[in-house]
Amino acid sequence: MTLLIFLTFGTLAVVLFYSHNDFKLTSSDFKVIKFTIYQAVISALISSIMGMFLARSLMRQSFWGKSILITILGAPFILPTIVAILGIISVFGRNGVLNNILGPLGFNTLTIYGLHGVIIANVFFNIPLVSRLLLQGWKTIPAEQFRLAESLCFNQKNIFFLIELPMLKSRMLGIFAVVFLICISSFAIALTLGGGPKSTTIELAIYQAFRFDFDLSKAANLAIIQFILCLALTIMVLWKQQTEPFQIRFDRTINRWNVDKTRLLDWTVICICSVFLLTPLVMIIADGASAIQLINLVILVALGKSIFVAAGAVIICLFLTISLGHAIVSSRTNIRIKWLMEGTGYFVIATSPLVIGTGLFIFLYPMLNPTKFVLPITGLVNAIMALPFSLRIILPAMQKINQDYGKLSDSIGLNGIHRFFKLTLPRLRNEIGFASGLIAALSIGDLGVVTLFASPQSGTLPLTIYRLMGSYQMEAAKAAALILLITCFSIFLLADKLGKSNALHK
Amino acid sequence: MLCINNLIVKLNSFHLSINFEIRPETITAIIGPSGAGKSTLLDAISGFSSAESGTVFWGEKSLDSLAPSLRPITIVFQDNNLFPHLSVYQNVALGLTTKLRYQPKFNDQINKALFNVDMLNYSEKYPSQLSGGQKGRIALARALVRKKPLLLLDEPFSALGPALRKEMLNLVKSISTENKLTVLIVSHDPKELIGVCENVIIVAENEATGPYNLQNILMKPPKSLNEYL
Repeated sequence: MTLLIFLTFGTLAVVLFYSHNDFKLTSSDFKVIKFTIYQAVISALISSIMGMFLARSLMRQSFWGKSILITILGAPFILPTIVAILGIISVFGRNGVLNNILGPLGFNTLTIYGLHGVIIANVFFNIPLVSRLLLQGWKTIPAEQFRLAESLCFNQKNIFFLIELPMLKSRMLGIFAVVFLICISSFAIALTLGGGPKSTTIELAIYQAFRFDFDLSKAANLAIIQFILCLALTIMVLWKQQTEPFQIRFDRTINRWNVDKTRLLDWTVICICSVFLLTPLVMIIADGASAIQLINLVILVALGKSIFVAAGAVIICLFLTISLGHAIVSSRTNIRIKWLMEGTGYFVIATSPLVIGTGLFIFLYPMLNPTKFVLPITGLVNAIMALPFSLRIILPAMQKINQDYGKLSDSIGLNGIHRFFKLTLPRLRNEIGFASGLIAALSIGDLGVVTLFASPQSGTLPLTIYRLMGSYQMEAAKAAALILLITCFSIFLLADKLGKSNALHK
Repeated sequence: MLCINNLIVKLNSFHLSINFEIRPETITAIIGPSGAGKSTLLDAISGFSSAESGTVFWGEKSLDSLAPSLRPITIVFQDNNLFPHLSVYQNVALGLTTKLRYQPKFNDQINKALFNVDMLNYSEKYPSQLSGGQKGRIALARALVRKKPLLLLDEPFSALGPALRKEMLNLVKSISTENKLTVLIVSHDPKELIGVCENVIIVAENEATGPYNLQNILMKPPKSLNEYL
C-alpha cells in the first residue's frame, strides 16, 4: 500500500517539488497541450461513433463467425501498440497497401506520419473497446423490452428513442471519457507516428525534454499538466462508471423481428470495421512471416528481457492486488480506509507511466544511476499500470468468496494462511489466471517508461522494434513484431487456460 | 442449557430482543414471518453479529467474548456449506483440522461420520457431483466430527422437495439423539416438524420468545403469527 501511494502520489510530489520554482509555460508548450487535446477529441469522437454503429450492427445481426469476430475485437486490448502501429504503417504508410492501390489511380501519396496517423492509430485501438463496452450496455436491456416493443408495434425510430437511447445516454459520456483518457496518454502512438513541432503530445514532449535536452524541470512541468488532465478525466470516468463484471459473453443475439430494413447498413458497418481492424493484423503476420529469417540474437535477447520484465510485473501486480483485496474484503478494516484503498487502486489510471517515470528518475538520480535498473523499474511501473485492471478482475471475486464462504470459514475456524491456501487461492484460480495473462500481455508489449531509461544497448523487445523502425529496417521490425505478437498472445492464452483447467470442482 | 437473557441485537433500523431458555439435548424449531429476524437470531447465538446488550450462556459459561469458531456451536447454512473445490472427504476433514496436510489419524472419525449420514461411498466425490440432499448430509457429517454440543440449522433443507425434507429432518433427529446434540432449526413450515420437535421459539414483532409447545401453537396460534400461519 505504501509502495503504491509512493509510486502514484509520491512521484508526483517529487515532480511538483522539482518544478515549483520556475513553473511557466512557453508558447510551444501551449501548442503541445492544444495538439494533445485536439487529437484526443477527434479520435474519441470517431471511435465512439464508429464503435456505437458497430455494436448496434453486431447486436442486430447474427451470422457465422460472429463470436470469433467479437473475440478478435477484444484483441487490440492486449495487442502491443508497436505491433499495431507497424501493421497500420504497412496499410496506410508510404509503401502501404492503400497507396499501392490508390497510386496508380492517380491519387496523391498518403502519409501516415502526423495528426491523421495518430488519429487512425487511436481509432484502431478504441473502436473495439467502445463496441465491447456498448455491447455490454445492449445486453443489460431486458429482452422483454424488445418483445414489448414488438407487441406495441414500435417502429425503428420508437425503438431507438424509447429503448436504446436511454441506455446510450447513460453510458456514452463515461465511455467517451475513457477513450479520451486513453488517447491523451497514448505515448507509443505519438512517439512513432507523431513528432515534430506540429504533432507532439504532452507525453512525447516529456520524453523529448528528458532524452534530448535533459531538462528535468521542463519535464516536471509537463508531467504536472498531464497529471491534472488525466486526473480530471479519471474523476469523470469513476463518477460515471457502473460496476460490472469485466467479462460477459456476447454471442446471444437479441431476437428482433423488424431488422430487415437496415440490413444493408448493418452489413456495411460490420464489413468496413472488420477490414479496418483486421487488415493491419493480417499484414503484420504476412510480412513478418516472410521476413522471419531476419530474426537475430539482439531480438531474441530483447524478447528474453521482455519476458523477464513481464514475469516481474505479474508477481508484483498480483501481490499488490491480493493484499489490497484482502484488506478491502476483511471485516476488520475501517470502511473509510477500504474506500481509500479501492480508490487508490483505480486512481492509478490517472497517472501516466511517463509521469511516474519522470518522478522516479528525479528521485533516484542523486542516489544511483537509473539507467542501470531499467528492467526492474519497467516491471514495477508496468505492474502499477496494470493494477486497475487486475483489481477489477480479482476484487469482485474475492468479495464473492467472502460473501459465500466467509461465515462458514469463520464458524469452523479456517483462518489466516490456511484460509488463503485452502479457500481463497483455489477459488480465485480463474481470475488469477486471467489477470496474470492480462498483466503479462500489457507488460510485454509496453513501450512507455522503458524509453526514458534504456541505454542504447539495453531494452525490451518493443523498444528494439522501435529502434529497428527508426533505422529503416522495416522488414526486421515486422519479423520482430510477429515474434512479439505470438509471445504476447500465447502467454495470455496460456495463463488464462491454466486458470480454467480443472473446471469440475466449480 | 442454552440461556439467553435480554439480548438486544441492532442492525441499522431493525432491532431484536431475545429471551429464552432451551433444555439440553432437545430439538427446538424457530418460526416466524420472513424478515422477522430468524437468521439474525442464529447470527447472534453463533457470534456473527455482536449484541448491543445482554448475554448468551451455555451452561455456566458466557459465550459473548468468543469468536464464532471457538463457541460450542456448529452452524449449517441455507447453502454454500461445502467448499466446491474440495472433495467430500476434505470438506468433512475441515471440521477437525484446518491444516493443509493430510492427517491419517482423523481417518476413522471422518469415515464414521460419513457412515452415520449414509454417505461413506461418496468420500472422493466433489460437491458439484452431489444432489441437494446429499450436500446437506455432508454438512451434517462435518457437524458430527466437530463434536460441538449445539447445532444450529438455518433452513438448510429449504431447497429440497417435501419428501426429501422430511427424510433429512428425521436424519437430524436420529443423529442428534445419538450424539446428544442440542438443536435449533429455522423452519418455514412448522407442520413438517411435528414428530421431530416438541417446542418452538417464535420470532415476531422484534422479539424472540419461547419455548412454546408446537402442537398448541399450531392449534391456537398467537396474534403475531395468525397471518403467517
